[in-house]
Amino acid sequence: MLLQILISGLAMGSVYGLVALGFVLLVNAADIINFAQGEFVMLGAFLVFTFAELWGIPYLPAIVMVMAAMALFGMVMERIAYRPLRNTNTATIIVSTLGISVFLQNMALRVWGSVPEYFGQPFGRQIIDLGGIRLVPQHLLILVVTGLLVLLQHWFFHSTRLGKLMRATAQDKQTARLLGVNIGLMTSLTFAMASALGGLAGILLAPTFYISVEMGVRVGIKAFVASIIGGWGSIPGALVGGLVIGLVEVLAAAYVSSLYKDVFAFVVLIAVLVLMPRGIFGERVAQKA
Amino acid sequence: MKRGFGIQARLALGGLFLAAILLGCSSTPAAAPTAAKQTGAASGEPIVIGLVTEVTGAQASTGENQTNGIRMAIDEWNQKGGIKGRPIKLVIEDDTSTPPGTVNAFNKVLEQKPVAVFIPNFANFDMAIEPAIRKAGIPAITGASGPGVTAAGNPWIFRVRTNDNIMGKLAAEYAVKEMGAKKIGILYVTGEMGAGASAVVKQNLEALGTPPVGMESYNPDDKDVTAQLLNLQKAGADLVIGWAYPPDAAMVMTNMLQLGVKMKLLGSPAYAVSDALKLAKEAANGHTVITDWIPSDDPATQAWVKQIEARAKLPANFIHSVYYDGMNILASTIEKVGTDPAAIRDGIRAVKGYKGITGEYSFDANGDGLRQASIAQIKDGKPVLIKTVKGQ
Repeated sequence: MLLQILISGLAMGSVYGLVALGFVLLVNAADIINFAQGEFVMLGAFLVFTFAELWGIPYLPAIVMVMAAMALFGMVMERIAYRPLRNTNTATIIVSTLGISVFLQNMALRVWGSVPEYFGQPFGRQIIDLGGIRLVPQHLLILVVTGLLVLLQHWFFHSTRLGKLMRATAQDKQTARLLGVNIGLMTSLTFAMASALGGLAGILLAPTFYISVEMGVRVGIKAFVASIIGGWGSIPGALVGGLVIGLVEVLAAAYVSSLYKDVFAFVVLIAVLVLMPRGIFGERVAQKA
Repeated sequence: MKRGFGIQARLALGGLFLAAILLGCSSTPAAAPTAAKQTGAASGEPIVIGLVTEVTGAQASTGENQTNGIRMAIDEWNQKGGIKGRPIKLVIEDDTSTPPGTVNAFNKVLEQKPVAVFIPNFANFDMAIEPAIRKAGIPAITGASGPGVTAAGNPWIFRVRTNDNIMGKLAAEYAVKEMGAKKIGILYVTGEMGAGASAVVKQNLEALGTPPVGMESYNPDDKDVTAQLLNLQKAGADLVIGWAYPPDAAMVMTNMLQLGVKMKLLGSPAYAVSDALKLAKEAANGHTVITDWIPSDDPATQAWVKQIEARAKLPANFIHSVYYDGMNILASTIEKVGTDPAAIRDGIRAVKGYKGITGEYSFDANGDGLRQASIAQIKDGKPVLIKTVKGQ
């Protein structure tokens, strides 16, 4: 029983981690907190449902289409909700992302309606039974993809020129501009990536969460908590933070009380903030002077 | 430069919120009734009926079911010429699927001077406005099943569904006597409805000499109940009585399939709603549900089912039927006693043996109108009626 419970905790944890990666990306590359990240997930899930289920496009091309559409959406959002505000303070930009979140929820309600949808691709309801321990293939896929994305993002931000330019832009716009970085292009690309990443999370979550207008809200909050626990701006921290939350929730539900399981997740958050204010992997040190 | 950006920023932000607000609100006028366009001869001053429901938020699908049931009845009345020549006008306010949203929406509906209101199908939302209903002094009709709704002794609240005090008792009796369960676990969604009903089930199981072997809960937006299900299995449960809202009912059934647990399930009304069945797909098959109403083969019922399904574009469910009946009860009461709220209140309380689509309604001193349950088994994603039982 313990093993099955741990598996379920890791599955939920990797979901939180996957969404948290989107948060971390915008923290690293634009120095903003995006409260619409959960709605990116929702939008990705509805889009893949529309393309693959309603229009009958095969799964893999549908994924490419969703991510392309989301990248485009991210760039539009940057123009509307970020660029006009980038010289104001952080709080203003956060409120702006909240506005986007409200807008997206209401738009999705108009377009897709209030009844949740089911999307089963690619594995449907298949189960892998390992001598009584049952695994859901979709959960394994989420864990593998999240792990790969951690490595990919880490490599991108630390080993590629573009990644370094993006980080430089986030750390100090003025200096980056003086050094000839096209900061407009950099933030535009960052939003495209964060949005596409949210869309990918939506595609992967759709079969385990039902697709609904509200699906991004709760997972967005949990992912935010995960990225704080893991260490603000830390890429591996996002995954580890997510796994910690997932495991704490399920273990609390199994061995303490299912009624208070959310309390434990937030107790862990507070404990980490008090005991390790930089999170498990340590906060990003570089800050604006 | 800085200053320019500031103004631009504020404009952009303002525009954004305006867009969001417009979009959020536009569903209300779009959903407003088209009473005037109906063919009937209704021409007098409209009789205003309020509806506080979930246009947006996590429970918006239930709000849509509720609205469709009410509107179908109103359209029929208006086609017949309204109530004594006066058309019925429905004004809808969005409760955003939250208790504070319900308070705001109720206050907004009151500004339109309705003679009676329909309130949300969720007990915790209704209880947030219970004092306001008392203060406003207008009849409020609901299909929320949580015992608390009519337990407050508010003379203005009427329930067009079976109280969970009755439903929980019938569920416990059916599980023990007819399904032959020896060890029963309870799995409920947190909130007034789930907590209230599961307490009733527990009490009745104890009275039957088979106290529950475990009680587990989860939050409405949780996506996994593995730990809870395995705890019940470990406690030796052979049957789970589940009390849920529709989306999480689907999640419970899917989890049971994924874990391959051998426990049987007797699910609350939400388990039988098409929203839940559509999401659960094959995971729902074989489970038993207890609900207020499952369409029978009776031709009159089937004719009604066809009409509501054309309107709702969903399989007919009890939320459609109880609010359709509730609106008819309200309209015929107004026809009899006029539009004075106190007279309507006394009129509804006097309704005895009214035969609606759902069943027979007789209102008692608490405002509870329905005392029946339909028990069904899910086959090929559809509830198939086993029997209808009467409660006391």
